[in-house]
Amino acid sequence: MNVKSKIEDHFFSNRSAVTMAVFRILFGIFCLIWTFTLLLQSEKWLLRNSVLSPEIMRQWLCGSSFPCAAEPYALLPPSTPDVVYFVVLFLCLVFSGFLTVGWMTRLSIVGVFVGFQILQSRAFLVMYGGDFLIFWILIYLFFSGSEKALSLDARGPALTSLAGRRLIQMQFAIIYLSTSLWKLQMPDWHNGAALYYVFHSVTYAKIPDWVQFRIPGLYAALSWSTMALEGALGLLFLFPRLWWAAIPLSILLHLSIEFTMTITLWHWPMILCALTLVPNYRWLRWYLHLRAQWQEGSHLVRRHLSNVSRASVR
Amino acid sequence: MFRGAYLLFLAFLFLIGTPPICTLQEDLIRATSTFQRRSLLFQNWNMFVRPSPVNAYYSATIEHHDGHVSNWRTPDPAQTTYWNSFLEGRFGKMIETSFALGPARNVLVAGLAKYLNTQTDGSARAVRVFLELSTIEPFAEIASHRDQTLSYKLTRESIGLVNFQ
Repeated sequence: MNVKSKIEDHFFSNRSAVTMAVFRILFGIFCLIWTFTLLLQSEKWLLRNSVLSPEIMRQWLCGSSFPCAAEPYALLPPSTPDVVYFVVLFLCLVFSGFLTVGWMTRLSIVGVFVGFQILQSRAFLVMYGGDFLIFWILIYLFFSGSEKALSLDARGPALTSLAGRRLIQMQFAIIYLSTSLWKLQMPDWHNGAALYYVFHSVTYAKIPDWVQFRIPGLYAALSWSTMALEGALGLLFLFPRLWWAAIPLSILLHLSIEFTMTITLWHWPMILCALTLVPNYRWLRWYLHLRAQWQEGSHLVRRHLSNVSRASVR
Repeated sequence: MFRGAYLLFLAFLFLIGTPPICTLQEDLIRATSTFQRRSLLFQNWNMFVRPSPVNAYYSATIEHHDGHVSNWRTPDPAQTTYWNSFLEGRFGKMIETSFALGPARNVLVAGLAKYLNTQTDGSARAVRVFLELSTIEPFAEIASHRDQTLSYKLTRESIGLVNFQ
């Protein structure tokens, strides 16, 4: 097989849409949770009397020069009444629900994209990289054919091009490679002090001070291993033969950060992306296994119930 | 045609998403930065590249109409439940962003005061906002690596007073 046909096969061949359908369902649930948490914080970040009123946002970003390059394109004007944001939040919940069940999937993706643009451009200053990553994922999801399986839209054979799925995987390879290459250039990561500062930051650290041990070399080892792991994951994502290692490593890395640091919802799309590396047949095998377990379980329950009813008749 | 455009797009993503190693890449990043910022389609993944050795909080003293005084401080994720740290996590981003903006951060005072007034059902007469800074004390192993000397002083500076009638 020459390079050209290898590229063709890797990026453009048709495969089952099951993995992307599972990703779509989980990502739809993620969008539901994202919107719900923002709804709970709307009086802090979205409404007129919030910490970030539209006028303050503009002054903060642009000083006295309007408009400026630092300002995101706001789809709604600053004078928008609060009720409109509640309507947008409600629509985002609805479209995220549609995305989860795969009903009008592509329209739902566009709906979530536009809704999140409105909300994030409004509260731009408190959005993390993970929030902005949602937009890229939605674009890739639009082209992934995820609606062809496990959805209300599903018609015909559940086959789709790998192009969309590969875009998601490449995006995450870029994220891991980029972050480790940036860190390689920084003195605090070289000397191993970086994670010491991160774990003692009141802004991000979840671990209380009394848990933190002052073991010489501990923070240096953690800093270097984080940098190495991120770099390794970037490379692992590029080579399909190594995906079996990339999946658990990626999940382990993000769960460990999730339980030690507060970066809102950043880790969950990252973990979901690792799941796009799982081959289609694995999902089918797990499904069949679970179904068999369920049938065996329900058979045992039925037998128990019939024994009980027989005993009660006797 | 489609396949060529697809692979070109992937190369473009790699170029604008990874740290620049040549002037062409720098130019490309510069050329797309305004678009990235305005469309929120960022490809900038330098998370925690420069961890700050300074801890910052915003705090406020709220004087109520009935004369009593209450205090507020940006939440500390280590002192709260998992769910609350999840919800209050955006205060962390607010502090980080406001620091990156320098003196422009003082604009935030009005918003914070207005929000705290709403939280107390409009009972605030005046809200004074403070910026508190403390240096993360490095232990010997790390202090020896750092070039600059760090001061361990906690500073609390008033950055604005808002009166409500």
